[in-house]
Amino acid sequence: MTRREAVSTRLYSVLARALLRTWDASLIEEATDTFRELERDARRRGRKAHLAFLATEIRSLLSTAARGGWRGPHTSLGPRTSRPRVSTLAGTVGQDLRYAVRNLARSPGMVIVTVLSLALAIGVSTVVFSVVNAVLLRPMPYVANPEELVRVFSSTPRYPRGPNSYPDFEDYRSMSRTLDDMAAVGSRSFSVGDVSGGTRQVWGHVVSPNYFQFLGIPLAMGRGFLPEDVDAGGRVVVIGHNTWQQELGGDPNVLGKTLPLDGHAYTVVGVGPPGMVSVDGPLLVEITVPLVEHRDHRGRQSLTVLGRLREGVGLRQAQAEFDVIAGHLAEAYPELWARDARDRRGLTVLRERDARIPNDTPVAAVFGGIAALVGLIMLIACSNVANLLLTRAFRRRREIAIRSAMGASARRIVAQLLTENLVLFGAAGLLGLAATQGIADVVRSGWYLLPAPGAEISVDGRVAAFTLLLTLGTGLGFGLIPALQTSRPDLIPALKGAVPSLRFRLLGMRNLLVGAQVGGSLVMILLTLLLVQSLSYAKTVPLGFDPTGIATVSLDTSPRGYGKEGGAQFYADLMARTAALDGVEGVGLADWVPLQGGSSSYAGLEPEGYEPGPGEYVTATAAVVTPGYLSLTRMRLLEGRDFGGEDTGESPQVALVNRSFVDRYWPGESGIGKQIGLGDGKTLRVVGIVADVPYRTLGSEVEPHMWLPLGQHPTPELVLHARTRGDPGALLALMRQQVADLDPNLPIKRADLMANISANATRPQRILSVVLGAGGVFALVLAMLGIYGVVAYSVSQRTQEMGMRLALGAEPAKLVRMVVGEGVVLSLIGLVPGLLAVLAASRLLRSVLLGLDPLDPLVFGTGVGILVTAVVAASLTPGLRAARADIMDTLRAE
Amino acid sequence: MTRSTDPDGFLPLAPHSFQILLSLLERKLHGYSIIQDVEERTRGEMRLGTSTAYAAIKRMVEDGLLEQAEPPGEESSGGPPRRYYRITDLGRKVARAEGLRITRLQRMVAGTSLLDPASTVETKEAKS
Repeated sequence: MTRREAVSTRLYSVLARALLRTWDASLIEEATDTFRELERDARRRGRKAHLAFLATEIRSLLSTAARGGWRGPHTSLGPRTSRPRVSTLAGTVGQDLRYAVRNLARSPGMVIVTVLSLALAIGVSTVVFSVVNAVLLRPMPYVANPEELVRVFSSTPRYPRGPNSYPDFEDYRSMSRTLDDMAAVGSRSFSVGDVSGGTRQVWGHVVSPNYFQFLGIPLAMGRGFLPEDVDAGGRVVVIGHNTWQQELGGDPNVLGKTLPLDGHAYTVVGVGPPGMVSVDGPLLVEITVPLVEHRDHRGRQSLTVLGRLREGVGLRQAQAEFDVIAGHLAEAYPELWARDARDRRGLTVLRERDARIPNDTPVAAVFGGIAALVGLIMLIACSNVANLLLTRAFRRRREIAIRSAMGASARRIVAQLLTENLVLFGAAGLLGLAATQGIADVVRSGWYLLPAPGAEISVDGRVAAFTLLLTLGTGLGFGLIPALQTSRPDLIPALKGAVPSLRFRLLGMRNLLVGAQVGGSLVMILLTLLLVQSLSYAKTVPLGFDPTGIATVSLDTSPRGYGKEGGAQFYADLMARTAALDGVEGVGLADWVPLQGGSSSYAGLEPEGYEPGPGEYVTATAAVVTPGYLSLTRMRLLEGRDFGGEDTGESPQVALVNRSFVDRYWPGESGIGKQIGLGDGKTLRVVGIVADVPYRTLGSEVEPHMWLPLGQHPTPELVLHARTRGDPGALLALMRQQVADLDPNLPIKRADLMANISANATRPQRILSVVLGAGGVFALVLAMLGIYGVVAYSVSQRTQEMGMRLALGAEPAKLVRMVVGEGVVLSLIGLVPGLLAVLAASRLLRSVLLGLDPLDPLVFGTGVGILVTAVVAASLTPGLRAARADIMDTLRAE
Repeated sequence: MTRSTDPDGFLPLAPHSFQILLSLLERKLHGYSIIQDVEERTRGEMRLGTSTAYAAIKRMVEDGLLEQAEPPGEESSGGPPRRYYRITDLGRKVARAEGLRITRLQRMVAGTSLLDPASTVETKEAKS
């Protein structure tokens, strides 16, 4: 017997024993033997036949159980001795279901509120899970034997999972015996030209030519890359299925056509399968081109290296081999691999699946955070539903008492109530799953990690199973509370319709549920407030430059073959023509726009007189600019001078650095006149210090940064900046025209207002705050509903008490205060744990919030204030009702 | 439970019970072969689930339509000895009664226009 056979046979025997209780052991054993033989036959007939077989068996087991195998047939009902057609389990469940649906249909309002709020919570939780699933759990689609895949990282003590350079990759490939083959992949965004002459940004890969063969990705059409493609210049592309279908209309003759990509014409040689995602995560890959640039540049580390373990080779052997390879490389290239003993580079081999979990975040923290978020959302929604159900069950006390008196067992009543709850949760689960795609679309549109949208989030079996478990688990858990609470009513008073005396029990089940809601809402509200505050703070953070009125146009002259001189001439002409435009105050060039999302950076710098700590790697971001760029963008020169016409290729190399650079490497010194070694023998002399400007992100800390003069660092890829007194949008159009006039064949990579570019930098926080804000409002409304329900119920049960109080001369206002006070006390049950939860999470929050204290008393005060206001508002209506209680009615009832 | 000896008292038989009886008319079989035989004879139209088959067998044994039989001599599947079932006289009578019932039904159907292609269309039209 194979292992799989043993498992299914065992499962069958367990199920049969559980379901067919009227059968004796020998019969079950016999049936199990037969099952095993039949399954073996079915398995031989193929997968489909096997599945059909299993389905038949499950159906057969269930229907046999329902027909009396479980508890045996009813025989006590009457003289009829033949078997009744309908018997216990199936009949009961069906009856309960019908009854549940009929009963629920009587209170459509409650059903709608419950199902919608649950569906939303389940939908959101499902999306959260599907993101986790896509990023961490699901193997890369289309990849043959993904379990063999490993990643090779170039690691230093500070960056244990660094990228690799192409020459290094080629060395690994030629030296390794433990890996069958290897491929190198880089990721970046591409601007793809469309028919209307505009461009759009999409995500894509730059790969070693063997990439598709290596991973075994079946292309929908055409071929992967060949080594000859690289020799011929590498202007070939495999496009994604999406691009093919949507941008090119699914053209069946697309192979051989050209596609404008980053301003170059690429020939389409292949079309990827639908849903092909990046090796780095669930981003749709729309463009894949062979790697041609920087193939000889060993210092340029930007590639992910994938390998396949040779059969019979373990990860440990591979790691041992790569340790040896790292040793060889350190001997051959000591300047890159062993600059000094403290900062030695090594190689780390990890399984592809393990490599996906970010190494700087403990796995438990990632999953814990996600679980906490999902848990919080579900807790709020579920406690609300449980409370609604509880209130409803109390109203049905009389009905339940009657059924109890008629002989229904407590178990039977619980089963009935539970069925109703499961119907509610089941409907919500289905709706939530259906809403998942919609919610995923919203998430996708705000997928902030991407320069280009296209994250692949989809519902697969694992996600569906998660939703099912979540629905059943919460349905059973939260459905049981009200069911158990009502299943044993005190018969006589309940039948009489009398109201049980309702003491205010502070820690009663209903109050605990309300407390959970209040606590959950408080957490959501506080998180929202903190984010909103950090956003408004981000707006007031001095940018260090003034983007208003500046229009930018990104260009790359390299495909036009101008050469160094020609390129410089082209840009000089363009600057002159743009400067002459009406209303233009100034023009400049730079290779990066601040906050554009990226920047070039230098690693292994040697600032004069600075001793790097153990394992420290001196890095700085850098931008190449023209003289006058600083004043154009209103960056502040604190000390020294700006670049000038004298800083050319012939003059000594100079640089400007930002305040953070000086503070980090030369604290307490001016920095002017200091030398910075580039690690390759060249040095730069600092001629000026500039106030901090955030280049990469609008975070709390600005990285050390250098500005280099364009005259000494010529590059064909530049962004033309121009400031106008008038409308920068209009200027943008004129600038495009200038480019077209100078060279009609030069493509424009991107044209945008500088203000738009900086505004995009806070997009992640804005999206997060909108999402959390919506969640916070949702939670608050639910909590208000819950508090209203509990307080209103408690008041309605105490009409007599209220009437008596009024009759005895209590002031109505006092009654209102009393009722509202109860509501506030209720909310306190949740307020305290909620506050504690936020306090506990404050360390985590600090990293998300821009330079803000998560324990800001103002924020906490506001959050608690909002909540208490909501609580008072929710209990006011029942309070007023109490105060209007009719004395005569009450007394008559007594 | 009183045991009925009137074959007509068992009618109509559940289709799978009838098929099991048919399988056992000529020979004794164990559960696995019964399921296989039913599937083959009905050309795959009826595939009995294991527990459905055993539930029917169990009931028919209790009702006296089937009884356990000694395994034939050559049986040696290696495993524990399997239980064989054979049809009883009552079982044979019940199967025969069911067969007659179905044949009578068939004749009744044949005497009407139920299965004429034209009448099917008419009915559909009348419905719509």
